[in-house]
Amino acid sequence: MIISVSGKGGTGKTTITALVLKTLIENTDKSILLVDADPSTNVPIVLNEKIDKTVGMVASELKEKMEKGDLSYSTSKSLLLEAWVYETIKETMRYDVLPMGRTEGEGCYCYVNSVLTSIIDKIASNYDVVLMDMEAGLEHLSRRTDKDVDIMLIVTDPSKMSLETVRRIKDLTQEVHIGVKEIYVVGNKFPFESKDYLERKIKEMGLKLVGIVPVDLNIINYSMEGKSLLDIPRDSPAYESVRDICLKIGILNEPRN
Amino acid sequence: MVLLTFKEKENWLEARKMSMFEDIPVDVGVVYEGERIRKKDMQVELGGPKIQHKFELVRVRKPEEVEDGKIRIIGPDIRDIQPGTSNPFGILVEVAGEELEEELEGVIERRIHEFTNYIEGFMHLNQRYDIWCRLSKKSFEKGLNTFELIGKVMIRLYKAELPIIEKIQVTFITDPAEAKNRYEEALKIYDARDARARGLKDEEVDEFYGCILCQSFAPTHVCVITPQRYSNCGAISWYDGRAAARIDPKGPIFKIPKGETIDTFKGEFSGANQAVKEKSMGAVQRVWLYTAFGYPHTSCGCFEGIAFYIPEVDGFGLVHRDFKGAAVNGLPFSTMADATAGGRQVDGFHGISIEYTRSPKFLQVDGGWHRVVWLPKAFKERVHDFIPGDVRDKIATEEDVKDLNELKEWLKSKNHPVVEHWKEEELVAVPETGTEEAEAIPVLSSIEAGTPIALPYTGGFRVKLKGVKIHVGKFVIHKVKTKK
Repeated sequence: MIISVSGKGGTGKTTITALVLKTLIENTDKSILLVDADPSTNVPIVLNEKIDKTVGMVASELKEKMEKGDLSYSTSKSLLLEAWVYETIKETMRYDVLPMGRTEGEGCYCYVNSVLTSIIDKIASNYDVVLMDMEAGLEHLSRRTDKDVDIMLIVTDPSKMSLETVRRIKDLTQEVHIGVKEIYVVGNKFPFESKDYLERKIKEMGLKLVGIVPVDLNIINYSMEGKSLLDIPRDSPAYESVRDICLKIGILNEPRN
Repeated sequence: MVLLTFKEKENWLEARKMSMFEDIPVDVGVVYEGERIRKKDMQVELGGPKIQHKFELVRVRKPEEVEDGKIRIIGPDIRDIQPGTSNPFGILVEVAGEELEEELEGVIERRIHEFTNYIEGFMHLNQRYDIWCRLSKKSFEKGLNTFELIGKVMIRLYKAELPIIEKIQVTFITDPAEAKNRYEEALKIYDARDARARGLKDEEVDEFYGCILCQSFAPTHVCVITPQRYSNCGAISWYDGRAAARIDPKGPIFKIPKGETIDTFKGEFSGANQAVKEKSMGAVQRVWLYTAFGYPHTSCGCFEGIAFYIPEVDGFGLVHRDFKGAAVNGLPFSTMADATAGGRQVDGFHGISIEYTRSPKFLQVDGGWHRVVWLPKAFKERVHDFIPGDVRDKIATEEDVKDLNELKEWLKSKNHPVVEHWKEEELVAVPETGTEEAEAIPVLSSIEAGTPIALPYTGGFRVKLKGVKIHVGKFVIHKVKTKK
């Protein structure tokens, strides 16, 4: 199952991603790959994990070596890149993180990107759940994977701009070649009283609001102190809300494949 | 040697494995290719990023040197290795057979990756001195606790798939001292193999490879990749082409049967002509691989460098993407790239990879390195050893000359080979043209009967007229995508 979390920058995509991860860890025994596909690489910060290298960095490194003629002549570049990408995977006891990062430098990435797509699809197929923290643009997604997305969560906060982004992402999903089976909108940092209003707004766009996640003091404190959001107490209101959302959209009762 | 595609192999393996791997305690099949063993689930790690001494090597031996089916283990076996640890690791495969040659070692060696990956719970990554293997706890518990079993699977798959192998023995090395010694030996063999690979000639192969990955930017561009002509982007060697085409024969990188050799010197082959014709939808009819004039190889938008003709001195300048200033003709890379790109056959503006300039075939029709008059210093340093000694010091860089006048003086004072031609051309009188005209001249001179004409474009559309001598056969308007 592939779950992607997108939305305008600053709406709390990474926070919601971390809480979905916590829900999966605490309520299932599924194997989980977390793909940090936002070039700003925020996931390690909210999970308090140190990342040494990103996929973008190793791709750039390969590119640089190609240009300098530093690679041995008859070795296979795709095998080399595959191993290097595997090395970027951060393995923890309960889940793995694949930090995508971004590529540096100019020149042609056609070949590197096409090889990366197949490597990442291969890695992803090893996990029960692939959870992706996406940047707002979907071009990124279509470049990086050929797989369909089962569930897309679009996060919005109470601002006109992020609501506009929701609409734009919806339009984009129809333009790029990947299929998205279900799209749900999550209202983050909304008071519960505003639910009806938001629901109406989202419905006007032809989308479904799946839940509201309130402002939560635990999230704020943990974030400020740089502690992992996976460790917030189970009765934190934001976590309870995300857990409800996961139940509603069937992430928890999906049978193991 | 017949190489099966993955699909064919999958069918073949499925049909046979029942009887072939009955005595192996875990499953063997293509479905396990790409299986990743997580650290938490691994019994042992062999090689990998934490280990320096690791390798896999295939050697072709004399028949009397190989004991068929023999499996040796030097150092602790899997069951004796402490769980959860990373270990030095070597795999040596020795083969013998009447038709086997040393040249095939690399190809046979690459199959270790495939064959070991077919084993349930065994992960194999990378190649040569970079291998990284893991065995899962689950498969270990099922009984995969000795290299003996891994060796058996490898030997059976090798013999079944490559009947050219008559005898085969496999040695696994985990002893640290032994792994270190043999690793150092292996490095020398890889180096020798690379030197040989670099020497592989276009004349010696029956197949080239084509690549259309760039067609989203340049819809009529087809790269023809040969042992001596790297892809324009510098990313895909003939060896990479072979690997990619085998895994996905219908993908964007595909095999081109060389066909009949029409002109060895220019590099015209019937197979390459047919492939570019088909894949460019008829926009390109023929291609001469080793020249920038006539029917030159098209340029995508991805090339690492440009070979640009300088009419004033009748020589070529080279410039690469990273060079930020203006080249000796006053134009920066980006401006010349616009004149070069788009999948057209442009006389005198030729997209190239840096690796191609290391090839003996590099613009051989036009004089190769002996026709090159200028290139950036950084570029020159990268390819220094591949520039013929008799001309190396006669080629200027941005540190030697600032413009075409200075270049002329420089070439004269160094007696660069192009100066010879100047005398003959005095009669033709090379006009002191501005750069824009110089750019346009070679483009227009390329129009010949039957040649597709790519009109220069300025805005977001390209208008292409074909067969204009008699009638307009086709009128295609493409929206031109610009590359970020």
